[in-house]
Amino acid sequence: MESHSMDQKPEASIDNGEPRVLGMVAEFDTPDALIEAARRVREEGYEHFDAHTPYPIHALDDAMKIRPTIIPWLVLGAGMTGTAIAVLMQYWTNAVDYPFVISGKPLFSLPANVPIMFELTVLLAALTAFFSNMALNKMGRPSNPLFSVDRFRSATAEKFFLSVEARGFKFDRVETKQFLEGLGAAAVEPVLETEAERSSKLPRPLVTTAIILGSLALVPPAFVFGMRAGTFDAPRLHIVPDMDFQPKYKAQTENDFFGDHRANRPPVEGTIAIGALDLDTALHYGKNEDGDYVTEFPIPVNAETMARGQQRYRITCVACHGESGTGDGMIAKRADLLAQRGTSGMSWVPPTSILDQPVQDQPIGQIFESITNGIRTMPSYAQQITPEDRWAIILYLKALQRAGSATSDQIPASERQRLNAMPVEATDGQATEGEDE
Amino acid sequence: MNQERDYRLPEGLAKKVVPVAGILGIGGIVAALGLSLAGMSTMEHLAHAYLLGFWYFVTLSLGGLFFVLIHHLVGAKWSVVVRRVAEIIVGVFPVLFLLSIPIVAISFMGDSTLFRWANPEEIAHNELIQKKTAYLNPTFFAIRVVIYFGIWTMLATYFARTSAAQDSGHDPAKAYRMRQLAAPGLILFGTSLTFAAFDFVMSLEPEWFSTIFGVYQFGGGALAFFSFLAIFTIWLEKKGSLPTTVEHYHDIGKYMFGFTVFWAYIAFSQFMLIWYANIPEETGWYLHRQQGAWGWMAIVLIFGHFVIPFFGLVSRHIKRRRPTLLFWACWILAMHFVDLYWLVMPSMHGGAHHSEPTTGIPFQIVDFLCWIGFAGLFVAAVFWRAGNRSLVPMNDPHLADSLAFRNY
Ligand code: HEC
Repeated sequence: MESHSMDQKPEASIDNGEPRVLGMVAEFDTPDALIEAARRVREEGYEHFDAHTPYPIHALDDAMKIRPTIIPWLVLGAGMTGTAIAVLMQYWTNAVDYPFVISGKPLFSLPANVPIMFELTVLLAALTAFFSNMALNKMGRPSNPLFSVDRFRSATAEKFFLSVEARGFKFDRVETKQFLEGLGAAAVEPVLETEAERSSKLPRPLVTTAIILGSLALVPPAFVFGMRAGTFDAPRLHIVPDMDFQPKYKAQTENDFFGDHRANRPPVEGTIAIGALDLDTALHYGKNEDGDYVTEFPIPVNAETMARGQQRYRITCVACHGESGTGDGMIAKRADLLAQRGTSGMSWVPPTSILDQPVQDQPIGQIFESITNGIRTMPSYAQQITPEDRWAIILYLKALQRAGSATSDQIPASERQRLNAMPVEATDGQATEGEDE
Repeated sequence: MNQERDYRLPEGLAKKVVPVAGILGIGGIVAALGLSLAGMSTMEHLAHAYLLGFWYFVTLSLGGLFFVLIHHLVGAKWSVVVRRVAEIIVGVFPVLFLLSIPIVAISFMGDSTLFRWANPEEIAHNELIQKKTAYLNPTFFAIRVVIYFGIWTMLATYFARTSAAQDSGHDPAKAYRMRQLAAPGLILFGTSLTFAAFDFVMSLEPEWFSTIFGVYQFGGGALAFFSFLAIFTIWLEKKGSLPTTVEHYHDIGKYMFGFTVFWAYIAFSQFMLIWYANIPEETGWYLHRQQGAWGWMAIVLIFGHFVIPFFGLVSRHIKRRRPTLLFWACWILAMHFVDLYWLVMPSMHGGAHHSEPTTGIPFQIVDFLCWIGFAGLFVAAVFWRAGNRSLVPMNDPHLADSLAFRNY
């Protein structure tokens, strides 16, 4: 694209104190005259010239032989780059760096990534269109030598201008001026370097403004620094208090209002909170009156409680202990993976297999205690699971244990047939993706 | 342009084309019927192929109606030269209405030839359809079809007539009035199109539903229309019947490009929400259309209806050359057929609701015969409407702008 401005490279001249000529600007009264002039200037061999009009004139492009812009290619390239970045970024984060199965979808599936691909394509394409347009048209410059020509002001109102830069061997102050006049220009004027442009010094007002703004900009950091470094008796400035100050006592704090200096109040003697009645020690603690682990279920044992137990187990325990209770849950697998990769700071105790003999031999009350209070590294689940549900889970654990040591002749004949008919799958522990062919 | 000059079809051309295309059209449909009666196809297949051909040209014509309306609404200038052609195309709605009668008639036959919701036996054991019978029943369907075609014919006639009346005298008030009416017209257009798409195509599988379906059909239809417009105007220009220039083709090409992306955007939006939510009552429809040969057809659509024409049409140089633009217009018209085939034909034999849905593509000669039939009748109707009329709105206030129009 042709330069659209007077760049500071005038014809070679000795500095004799005269302002340098940066180019010539010719004024025309009609667009047709301008179009014709532009054509002639180009044919004459000038390379650095430009037309300035109050509104777009299509025929000018052709008269000036402006080369087609490369912006479409930039935009296409940027758009495709956006698509590629979106795919790679999502592939890397979802399938490589942190593979995690979410609601049973494959780690990487294209449909979920398309919206981001679309957005990034449009984003990069649009930004590139905007900024390459700015850059290639040399926009955003605070000033241009042409502005020093008074006549040039009407370029935004009713006149048409052609500017020829002093750059290039074709330019000659006198000849170019004559040539332009010969094209029917209403006026031709040289574009002179202004005094401000000539001197290498920055303009005074600019320097003053910069100094004032610069020193003002130092005030806030200085203030912040002073506040941070000093110590104060007064409470800190609370600009947005939100609900920071409330007339209330916090739990577990000291309080002089009460004789025992505790903010927490114990329940009134002889009362009990609703739902906290735990007289049934078997149900609530897994122990009988004497403190021994119970061996009988304190809840009804039927298909319904079994199904409930299965459902609760799959919600709370399966992430670690796995579907079959062997301890191959999703979390355990990931921990193994990280350990294999030698991730630093890893300390991981694998979940005990429910099918292990010691666990099988435990009285059910002991398992109840493990769930209720946690066991070694496993935390307590008493908050998440009601006592009844804990028992239901244990019922299901018993079923899992039974299933884990079952032999083929214990399977009903009809089911056995179905199993035999099933194709043998590789049991490498990998869950097969539920994909259709 | 020489304002004195008239732009019309070459002398006597309409008289020649109308009977030939008309006979081809009727011949195509009669041949399809004959083949089916002779046992080469089934009535069910024929009905679906007929609906496919019908819907192909309904969507295309609706694209034309959209173009006319949006042109007036935004006060477009470049498109004045090609607007009359669009007005002529949308004149075919009465013919399409006549051709919709067999479809409505089939719904009264009380079996599953086309619509399972019209079959009392099916309804009896299908609770989902039972709940929808208040809307999906033959009588109400027939009433709605009359309403749709009523709206479309009314809009098409009003804008074509007013524009024609403009030819005989300068009356800027007419242009203003058309602009005012285009806004409510577009609302009527959008609503009727959406429900028509539900009724004619979506209800083929009455268990399934998608609220964006009408927009999807609109996208494909507008795309097909602009492709047809490109072909038709280039041809008319060659015959000396239209003063269009490469600048107008460039803009029609932009519409084609834009709607290629729009179609993909909407088609994917519909797919992604269903894929992500993964609710069985919604996914079945797509699952069926992803299996076996239907799955391959879906891939053909992704690439043939979007990726390839996207890159094909992205460059201005392609849009500004008649041969390349013609190529992509033909390509897109073919893809519109594939798109509708993939929507309509899998619904045969109970569609996704059937326990073992079809997976092979059931291409039959009647599919193409029906399409050719409709194409013939469509072309005949368009030429009949064009007749000896001026193909340029001569006294439109923006005609001069349109003729002088240039792209950057
Ligand atoms: C966050 C992971 C995690 C979850 C969730 C979890 N466990 Fe554990 N569990 C473990 C680990 C780890 C151990 C082994 C603890 C050890 O040896 O330090 C374990 C051990 C056990 C044991 C063996 C105790 C023993 O006596 O050796 C039982 C029984 C058990 N869990 C049951 C359950 C049940 C029932 C649930 C669901 C309510 C559950 N776990 C949920 C991690 C978990």
